[in-house]
Amino acid sequence: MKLIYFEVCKLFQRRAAWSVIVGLIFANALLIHYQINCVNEAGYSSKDIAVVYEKVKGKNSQEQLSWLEAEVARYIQGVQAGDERYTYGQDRTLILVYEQIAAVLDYDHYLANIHKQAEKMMKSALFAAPDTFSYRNVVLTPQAYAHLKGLEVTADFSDGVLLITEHRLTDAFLLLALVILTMHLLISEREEGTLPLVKATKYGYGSTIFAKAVVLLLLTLFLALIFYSTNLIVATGEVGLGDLNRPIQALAGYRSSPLKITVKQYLGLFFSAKLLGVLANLYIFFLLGILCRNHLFSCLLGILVLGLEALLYKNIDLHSWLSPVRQCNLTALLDTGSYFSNYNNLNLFGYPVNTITAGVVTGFTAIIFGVVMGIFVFSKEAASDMRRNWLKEKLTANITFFKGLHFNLLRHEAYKLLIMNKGLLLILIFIVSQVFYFNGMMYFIDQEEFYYQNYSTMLAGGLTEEKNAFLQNEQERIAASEQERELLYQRYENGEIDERYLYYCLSQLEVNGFKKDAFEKAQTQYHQLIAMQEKKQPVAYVYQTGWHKLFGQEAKRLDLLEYDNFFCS
Amino acid sequence: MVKLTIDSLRKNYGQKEALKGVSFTLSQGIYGLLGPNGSGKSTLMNILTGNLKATSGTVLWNEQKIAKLGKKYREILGYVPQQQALYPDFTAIRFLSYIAALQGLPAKEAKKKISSALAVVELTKVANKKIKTLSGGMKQRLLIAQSILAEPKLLIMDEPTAGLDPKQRVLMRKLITNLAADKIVLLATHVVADVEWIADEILLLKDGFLIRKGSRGALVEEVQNLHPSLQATEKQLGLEDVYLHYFGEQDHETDLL
Repeated sequence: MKLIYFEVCKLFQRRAAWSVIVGLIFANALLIHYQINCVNEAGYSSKDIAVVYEKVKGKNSQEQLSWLEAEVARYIQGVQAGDERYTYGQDRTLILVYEQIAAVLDYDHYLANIHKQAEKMMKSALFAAPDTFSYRNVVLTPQAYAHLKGLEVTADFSDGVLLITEHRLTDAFLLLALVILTMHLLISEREEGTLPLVKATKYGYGSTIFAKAVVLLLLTLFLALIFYSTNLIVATGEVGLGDLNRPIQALAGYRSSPLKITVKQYLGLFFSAKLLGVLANLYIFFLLGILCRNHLFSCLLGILVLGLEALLYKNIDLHSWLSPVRQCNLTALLDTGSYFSNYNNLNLFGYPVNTITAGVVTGFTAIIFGVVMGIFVFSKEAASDMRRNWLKEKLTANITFFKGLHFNLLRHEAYKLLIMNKGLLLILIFIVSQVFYFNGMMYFIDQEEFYYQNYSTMLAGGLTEEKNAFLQNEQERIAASEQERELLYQRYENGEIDERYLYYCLSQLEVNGFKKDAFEKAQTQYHQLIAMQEKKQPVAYVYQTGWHKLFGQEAKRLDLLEYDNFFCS
Repeated sequence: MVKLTIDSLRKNYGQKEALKGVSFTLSQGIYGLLGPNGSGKSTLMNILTGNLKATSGTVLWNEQKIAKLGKKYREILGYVPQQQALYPDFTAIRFLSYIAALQGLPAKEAKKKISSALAVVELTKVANKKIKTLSGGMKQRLLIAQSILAEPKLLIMDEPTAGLDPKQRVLMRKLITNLAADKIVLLATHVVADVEWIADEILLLKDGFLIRKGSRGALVEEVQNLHPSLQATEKQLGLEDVYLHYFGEQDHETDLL
């Protein structure tokens, strides 16, 4: 106990490290706040969804759907009529909530479908052989959902809970904070020369490293609690978590969960699973820190190990014969939500093994392996700096930039900044966190963007007579379509056609609102180029969205976030 | 009666041999380990404290291998490292409490021993000051205080006077003499004056070999005998002359004269 106390005292000496950690905690809270309020490409934010759920609160599911249907119709009309009160995105929020509620209402049907699907698959030649993984997996799947029959799933706002559990940067920040502290706990003492003094004492070996391992456990608990409590507080304060007693299947993206637990239980289990995953990763890093005896090399090796694990996790199919490598993996353990959102089995020599079981076994094995091996290596090794560090020798032997006697100031400054002050390490950590953050990011384009892209393909390059003619024809076509639309609205207002027929006819029109907007954008751009050409300036039409993403207003907003991310890292 | 036996100790760093089969035996008393930089002193000290593993050879404490004794050996060991590497934000008393915990001293006993160690090194007044605010001499005395906390039988001091001014060196020597009552004190240095008058025996280490072991008088006499012309001079020879004789690179007689 005393040694644990002193290890904590030693860590609290590291003021710079703690300032970085406090910065990370604040950055995490700010980013959660930003994510709640950030309007996505479809034109709505989590806050908007929360507002819609607030409006349908107290109604039964059928009433909710009817109300939403009516609202969607009202918004579409408003948008098409050019009424400024109805903005882009509002209708999509309503549609999204409608779809979420409809999916929840459809849950019984979804469950029944799992059984039907399994029966169908077993009849197929692909799944029919009884000695295969596919067959065994198909047999197990309906059984896993059997106990959910009759489960009453009620829809409510999901984003609050998902913001807590699926915010990747929280994981990245938490791991970064813990890695910083682990390095101080293990390596700083060695690099600063206090370790030989400690190791020359009675309890300088096994007990000391055991105390360090316990401190790491306590720190993980403490920091995980702080980071996830921050998420909880910000999400609860800004948008709420919805009914915590509803089944987990009510959460968006969790309909396939085979677990009979409430959202409240899910939050508790999620935290435990996250702790297991973080601890497994951390104790492996703990072992690397002891083996490498140096900040830079332990980080390099850590990045290499984690990178390799991430590569295997991302690229191996869950049902392939290599799936144990995919699931019994450190990065898989950090993807905590995946254990709860779906029923998945990995293929262990043809036998299905549930990913939850595999995750728990992997987590505990990694922790035990890291701790036991760490204690063993630390207890057996010498503390003196004079011991050869083979990894360092191998690596530095191949880095010629810093080798030998030289009188170039740039080299000296680069060495001081990158190696001595661990700049290289910071850059590496930054790159890894960026890759980690943007890894799963997908870029969606909406209809307007799709049409604009197509127009841009046609108009790309120099300005020609053919392109002018094309724009002229297209404008005439759009004008004709607009006339037709106005006519349809007139007929509807005169009572000649009903609402359903109106919408049917509108959907049959060749040019919709998105296409018209996209055309106007492309046409304006083209006309600006004509004006520039008249002033004898060299011009060429290009698709501008990519450039705007890099240098436009939206990019500047993102840049600020990235800078914030960088400095916090 | 305590005994430390070093037998055929070798240490290689890759191709480089730092110790080339060093053997000697120490019993109660103060021993000065002299040698120039790179002679293998720190390597030997690190092996004796268990911070470094020897390539071959054995270290025995009372006829038992120190590697087998493990905790029992470290329990009787006091170590003053070469570097003044301490925890700068700890107070002197907290630092000593930490070492007491590492030595497994019970709380009550630790309190008494910390007070007494602080008194011995005359740091009682600064006990509650942060280490980073202490002077170099104070830090060195604090390192000595931690080394005597568990009343060790073997005290290993690696360059304990490095970086101290002459006045502090004198104080340090007195302190070491007072501490040595029932212990083996092995003091490694390349400053001859540090051990000349306090060490019972001097060990001379050169290029990884132990080249001489004996009392100051015996070593001086040996050098005098090797250089008969020196006997005719009026100059009283000292350990420094012995040092120059063995480690000086120029003509020894010219140096000595």
